[in-house]
Formats: sequence, C-alpha cells, structure tokens
Amino acid sequence: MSTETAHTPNYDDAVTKKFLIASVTWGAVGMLVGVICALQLAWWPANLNVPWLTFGRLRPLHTNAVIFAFTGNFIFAAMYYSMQRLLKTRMFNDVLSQVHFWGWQSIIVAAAITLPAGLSQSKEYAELIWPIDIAIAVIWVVMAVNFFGTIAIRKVKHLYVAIWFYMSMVITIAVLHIVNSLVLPASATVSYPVFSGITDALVQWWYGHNAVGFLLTTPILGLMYYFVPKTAGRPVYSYRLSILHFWGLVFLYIWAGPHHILYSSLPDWAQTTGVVFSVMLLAPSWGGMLNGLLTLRGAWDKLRTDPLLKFWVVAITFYGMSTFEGPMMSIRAVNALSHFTDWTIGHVHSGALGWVGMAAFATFYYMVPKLWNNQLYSVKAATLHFWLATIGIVLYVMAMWTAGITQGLMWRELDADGQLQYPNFMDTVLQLIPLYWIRLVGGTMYLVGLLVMAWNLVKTASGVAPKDGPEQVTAAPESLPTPAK
Amino acid sequence: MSKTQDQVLGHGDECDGIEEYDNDLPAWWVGLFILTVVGGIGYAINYHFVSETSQLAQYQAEMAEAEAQWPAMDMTATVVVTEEMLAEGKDLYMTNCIGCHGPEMKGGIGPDLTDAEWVHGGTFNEIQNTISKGVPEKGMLSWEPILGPQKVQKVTAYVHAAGGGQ
Amino acid sequence: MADSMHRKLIESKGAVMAVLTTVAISIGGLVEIAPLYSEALGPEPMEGIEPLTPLELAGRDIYVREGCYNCHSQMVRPFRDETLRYGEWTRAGEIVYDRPFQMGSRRIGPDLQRVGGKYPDAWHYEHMDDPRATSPGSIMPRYSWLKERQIDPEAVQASMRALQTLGTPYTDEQIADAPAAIQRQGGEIVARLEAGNLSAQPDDQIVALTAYLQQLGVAGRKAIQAQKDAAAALEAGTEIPASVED
Ligand code: HEM
Ligand code: HEM
Repeated sequence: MSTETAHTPNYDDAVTKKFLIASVTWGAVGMLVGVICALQLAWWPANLNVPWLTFGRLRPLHTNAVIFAFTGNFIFAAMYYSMQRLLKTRMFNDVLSQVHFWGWQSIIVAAAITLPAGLSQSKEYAELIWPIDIAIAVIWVVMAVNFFGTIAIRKVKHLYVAIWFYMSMVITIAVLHIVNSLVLPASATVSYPVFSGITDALVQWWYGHNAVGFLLTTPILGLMYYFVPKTAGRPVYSYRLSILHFWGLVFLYIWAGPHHILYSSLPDWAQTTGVVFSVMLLAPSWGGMLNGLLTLRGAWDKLRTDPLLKFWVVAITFYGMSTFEGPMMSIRAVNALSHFTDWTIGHVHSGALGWVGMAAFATFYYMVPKLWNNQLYSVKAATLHFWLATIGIVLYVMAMWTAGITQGLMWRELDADGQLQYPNFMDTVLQLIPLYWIRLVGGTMYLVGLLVMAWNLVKTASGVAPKDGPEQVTAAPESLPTPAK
Repeated sequence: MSKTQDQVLGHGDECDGIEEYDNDLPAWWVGLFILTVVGGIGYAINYHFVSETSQLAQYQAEMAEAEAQWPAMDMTATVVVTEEMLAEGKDLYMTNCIGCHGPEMKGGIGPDLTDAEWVHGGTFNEIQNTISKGVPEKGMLSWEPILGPQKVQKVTAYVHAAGGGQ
Repeated sequence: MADSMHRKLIESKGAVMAVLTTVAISIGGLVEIAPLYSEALGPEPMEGIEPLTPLELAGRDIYVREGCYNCHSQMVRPFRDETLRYGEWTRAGEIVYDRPFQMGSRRIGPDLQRVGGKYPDAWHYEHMDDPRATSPGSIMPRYSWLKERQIDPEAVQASMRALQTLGTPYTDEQIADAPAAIQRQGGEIVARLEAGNLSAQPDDQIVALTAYLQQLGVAGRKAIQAQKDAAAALEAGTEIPASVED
C-alpha cells in the first residue's frame, strides 16, 4: 500500500544467505551420496562390506539429503528472499528465522548420523526416527509462525501468487508430516506406527506423493512466479491462469497418493481415485508450465546469452515433461509395467534433476550477485554448468527409461509353453548393468556441474571482479505496457 | 475466450515490481482440463459400474485364458524325449544346476549324478519328482515353482540321459 | 469476473487463504484414508495369520534397519507372471500386523513377500554372508556382520509391548517368555545350519533375519489355499471342512 517504503533495504538477507550456502553444501553432499549409490548398483564391491556404507542405508541418506537439505534449504532461501520483498516487510521475527535455520540444519546433521547408523522407520522420505520427527514438527511450526506473522505485518494489501504457493507448502507439509509420523516408541530409537498393513501403506503414500507435491513442486512453482519474471524482466503471462492452476493443484494433488500402490490389496475404489485424480493433475500442472514459459515470451533473444534463462527454460520444460509422465504412469496398464522398475527412478530424476535442480541453480545465480552485491564472476562457467547438468540429466533419464522398460518387459515375458522366459531374476538384473554405468556418468556430470557453480558463486560472493566482462547476467526490467485501467 | 492482449493489471507495486497480464486461459488448456476431468470420471464410472470389473476379475480372466492356452501338464504321462528337449535341458542345467552338481555332473555340494547311485530314485519320474519338489532338508530347492513344469521336464530329460538314469 | 472476486475476497486476506487451502488439501486424504481406518471397512487378519514370534520380530527390525525395502518389495501383484515367479498375490489380510508396512516401491532384487520356505536356512545364511555364493552375478551387498552380532532380547520385549499397546495380540505371557522363545526357535535354526556344517548361535542376527524371511508369506499361502478349498467345496456342493468355516 505504501509506496514510500517500496525500497526499504531493511530485509533480513543474512538468513537468506545462510540457507543458500546450506543448500549448495548439502546439495553437493546429497548428490555425492547419490553418485555413490549409483556406483554401488553398477559395481557391488563399492558397498565395501561396511554396514553404514551399504546401499540400503545410503539410499535413504541420499533421498533425505536432496529432498530436505538441498531442496528444503533452497526453498527457504528463495522464500525468505522473495516474501520479504513481495510483502515489503522484514520477516516477522529474526529470532524465529534463526531458530528455523539452525534447527533445520541440526535436523539434517542428526539425519546424516542416524540414517547410516541404521536407525530408520523405513517409510520412504519419512525414515527419520521419532525424536527427529518431533524436532521437524517443532521447527516447522516455528517457521509457520514466522511465515504467517510476516503476512500479518505486510505492507501490501494483496498476496502475490508466489505467497499462495508457499502457504500451501507450509500448511500441507505440516499436516502430512504429523499424520504420517504417528508412532508409539518402544525405545529412544525404535517405534511402531499407529497404522498397520495396507492402511499404513496408504498413509505413507498420501504423505509420499504430497511431499513430492508440496515440497518438490508447489513451493518451486511459487518461487518461479517470483524469479522468472524478475530474471526475464517480463510480466507474468496470465493472472487468471495462476489462480486456476493454483487451486487445481492444491485440491487435486492430495488425492493422487494411491497411484503408488496400484495392484496392491488397497480396495479398487481407492486405487481408482488415485488414477483419476493423477490424470486430472495434468492440466493444472501444465498451467504452471505455461505461465512459466509464456512469461519468457519476448525474452527469447536473451536466452542465448543469459544462462539464468537457459536454466529456467530447461527446468520448466522438465517440469512439464515429468508432470506428463506422472499421470501416464498412474494409468493402471502403464503402472503395471513401470512400477518397481527403474522407470520410476527415471521419472523421479527428470523431476528432481530437471525441475528442482535446474530451478535451484537459476535461483542461486540470481540471488548471489544480488545478496552480495557483486556481478556474477563467470558467465562462461555458468554456461558450462548448464551444459554439464543438461547432458547429465539426459544421460541419467534415458538410461533409466531404457532400464525400466527392458526389465519390466523381461519380468513378464513368456516362453512358448506359457512359462516365464526369464525365471531367474538375475538374468533381468544383468541386462541393466551397462545402463547403471551410463547413469553413473550422467549423475557425475550433474554433480561436477554443481561444484562448478559452487566455485563460481564463492568467487562472486568474495567480490572478485567478473571474469568475462561486466554487462552480463540479468537484464533490468524493460518498460512495460501501461496498466489496463 | 483466449485473447492474448498483454494488458498488465497494474499489480506491480504490490509485487516487488512484477506485473501480471490479464491474458485469458489458453483455450486448448481449458480443453485439456475438461478432457481429463470428464475422461477421468468416465473411466471410473466405466470401471466400477459399467464393465463392473476389478483387479481380481481381470486377474482371474488372465489366469483362465492362460489355462485354456496352456493346459496344465500331466507330469506323470510318458514323455517322448526329443533332441530339442535335451538341448534346452542342457542349457537349463548349465544355468541352474552346475552350482551344486558341477559342470560334469560329478557333484559338489550336491551328489554325483553320473554314478549308478540315485539317492532319491533314478527313473525318469523319480528324477523329475526330485527336481520338482527339491530336497529341502539337504538344501536342494524345489524347482517347479521356479522353472515351471515344462522346464523341469526338459532338465529332467537331460539329467536322465546324460547321467544314465534307469 | 471471478478474478476480481478472488482478488478482493481471498488474496487480500491471509487467513481466508489459509483456511481455504487447508480445506482444499484435507478433502482428498479424508475421503481415501478414513474408510480404511474405520473398524467396519479396515482389513481383518486372515485365518491363521499370527503376529511374528519374538525371534522373527527381531529379524524384521534388522530388515528395516538394513533398509532391505530399498531393493525388495513385499507385494506380489495379481498378474499371472508374478504368480509364476513369486506365488499368490498379496492379500490385505496377510499383512495386517505389519508395522511399518514393507510393501516397498523398488525391485532391484526380487519380491520377498512369499520367500518363506523357498530356500533352506543354510541358503539364507550363505546368501547374506556373500550373495554371490548362492546367486552368481548378484549386485546385493554382503551382510557378513550379521553373523557376528547378536539381538537384544530386552529390546525385543520392549518392541512387543509397544506393539501390544497398538493392538497386536501379544499376550503378557508371550512377552515374558520372549527370551526363552528366542532360544528355542533360534536353536532349531542353528540345528539345521549345523547339519550343513555352518555354525551359529540362536541369538545371532543372521538367525533372527533367517527366521523372519522363512515365515514370509507362509501362513498367508495356507490361508489362501484354505479359502480356495472352501470355495471349491462349496461349488462341488460338499460340506465345508469345519476348520475353514470359522
Ligand atoms: C548427482 C545426482 C544424483 C544421482 C547420481 C542420484 C542417484 C540416485 C540413485 C542411484 C538412486 C536409487 C535408485 C534406485 O533405487 O534404483 C536415487 C534415488 C532417488 N533420488 Fe537421486 N540422484 C541424484 C540427484 C537427486 C536429486 C537432486 C534429487 C531430488 C531433488 C533426487 C531424488 C531421489 C529420490 C526421491 C530417489 C528415490 C526414488 C524412489 O524412491 O523411487 N536425486 N538417486
Ligand atoms: C502431475 C504430476 C505427477 C504425477 C501424477 C506423478 C505420478 C507418479 C507415479 C505414478 C509414480 C510411480 C509410482 C510407482 O509406481 O511406484 C511417481 C513416482 C515418483 N514421482 Fe511423480 N508424478 C508427478 C510429478 C512429479 C514431479 C514433478 C516430481 C519431482 C519433482 C515427482 C517425483 C516423484 C518421485 C520422487 C517418485 C518416487 C516415489 C517412490 O517410489 O519412492 N513426480 N510419480
């Protein structure tokens, strides 16, 4: 409302910086663990016969590190940065911001110790033992208070679409986490869930799918609505579309969980709701993709020179692709083939590396020069990072699609007598080994790209004069057509 | 519908300078949304109320179809052993059995199959039965659930022939 | 237009936005989950499905600790190829006591829901020690430390008490007897291992894990067979065997 405070520089950017550094650091760790897991599948001796280094314990470490540490910290950095600017106010309470930051990092450290130690509840992305679960709930509430407090003291009347998406994360993750973590402890480290059997499976995948939905998707769409128009200097393509696809996503997402347990003993009707709502998710998801890509209309010429826009275009394209693939994989007949195979892993990483990762990189390249008030050190290095990451994703995803479809078909192939063509499971595994090596190469390229970025950002933050000339990244907003009124 | 006028709404001062256009929803997007909603509901109605199917019904149909196409084998009927069977049986032996009985059938973890002694009987049917059901107390698996009856018969044919069964 | 209503009534009021979002995200979960959690519609244990013995429970906790579910599912689907490969598809009534469920989402290795009884105990012992020994080419890690570590009977009792509180029908006597039960069941496995020239102690982790694996799907298979026999008997017009009827 008050235009005079429009450029109050009094934002708490210190906490943003911390979250950003944490995200890059944990990202490197989490993806290194991913690379190790990939190596272990291609070459089993990499398990080293050491309990805490075996695949079964490292895989949860990988998923938790990339989801909660890399993606989580990235979202918080982008959220603290953008919401203060959008609401024209400093965060509600600096102490809460600090508690949120340090609390979250302590949880991550606790996870990094307990998971390799074999302390696990075995629910995917909810493996952490009950004391850590309680800590997560507390820290999440601290963040929520800070979040809603900031909204309450905002200096603008209306909430921008980015804030709606952040809000959906704050609310939904709290609900999901608390319900899925309802357990009875047997000791300080062991507990048993109040749900059992197929009900427990349904609760878990209601959680699991929506952890994907409300951590890896909606908050990133939210920050896309801030950073894409900022980066491109263009208005958001359609306000109306943003309203519709927002409500479409928050309402429909929550139903889709059963697509993870199709053909289980879950009642047919519940499976059908999972199928149907997943298919309905296609359009609302693509609404986000459209609003992202069409916002870049008129900025295409900058695409050649500006690595940030390149990252965004690939991120949004992969978002569109994995949200097309997801509904397809939710169709019963397709899931019958894809479920349990590497196809799922390909899908996960086209979303995770393509959408989440690339969006994170674009955001970091945007924020670091602004936060440290310097120019990006090397545009060339950022472009190199872009190509390493893009080629890495393509190798990873193509290898996994091939592996998944190959193995899925081999499992069901019959011989002339109507018996299994490959009764030895091992025969179907040995086919995949070369593809696992290709995935390892792709994943390694992606990780190397991340390290190149880290180096580039450190140089930028430390104020080294830009390597390849000044005038590079992030054009200033162009003059815009006048308002309709 | 679907006009792209690129008129900004003038929200910018409340959005850190970000403007929004009042562009309409793309028509094809609306069409896609309607299609998936109608298609999805139609699918559910068809699945549960029109074709009244279920995953169990589909499974039973699949099993019945296979039963008709590949009727259950009578494992006790006399078998005419062909060259083809022996060749396939040998392949099966080489992938599944050599671990315990050795490449030359001279035994190892499991007994020698070429000597005259057959611990569990040396007729075709007895050998077949041993392979089918396994010898759990000695560590030999029950192979029928793994290989299926036809393959058990083929590997039996090979073992019976190459090992000198009775 | 709807847009301006949205702007006026929702975007300008954080609380309204929060309430509407909460409502929107609650409906789906409630509709799907509540019916299963209710007494009437939730699954019942099948005939003969019993809670795990103390040794098996300890083995299950090892299965969870080592993260076996990352590579092995326990969910046979109702497809003919899976019936051929693994056996009967997994019923809800077989897994009612599973806390947490172990259906898994990946098959880097084969499904294990009906692995019980498929191999002898010695096979599991050797396989866990070095998977290549029994399955040439396997990419599974070695778990040789399971031979050297023991389970803690008191921890098993604590687990049983927690499960009892949650509704698993363990009796107080069973819980009190757990350490002895572990020795008994473990001793039987050790005897079978020794017949194959392998040595172990009843409370070795490898023994507990073997006990867990060897019961997987076994009672369920019997229960399903009983149901089928009953159905066949009904069709044939004969008496239903009394044991199946109730
Ligand atoms: C250097 C990059 C990465 C590599 C090499 C890598 C590798 C792997 C491997 C080997 C697995 C196990 C696959 C299997 O079960 O067969 C895995 C699983 C997974 N990864 Fe990654 N990963 C990388 C980055 C990421 C990122 C950035 C994210 C998320 C933001 C992510 C999310 C996941 C998830 C959610 C799973 C579990 C999938 C499932 O449960 O089906 N990964 N990853
Ligand atoms: C409309 C959107 C989407 C739908 C309907 C959808 C649907 C699916 C389906 C059907 C599966 C396979 C379940 C199975 O067979 O086990 C799956 C797995 C997964 N998807 Fe998606 N997906 C969507 C978008 C995304 C996006 C954008 C991401 C990541 C950013 C993502 C991440 C994952 C993960 C992590 C899994 C693996 C879960 C696991 O098995 O552990 N999905 N999704």
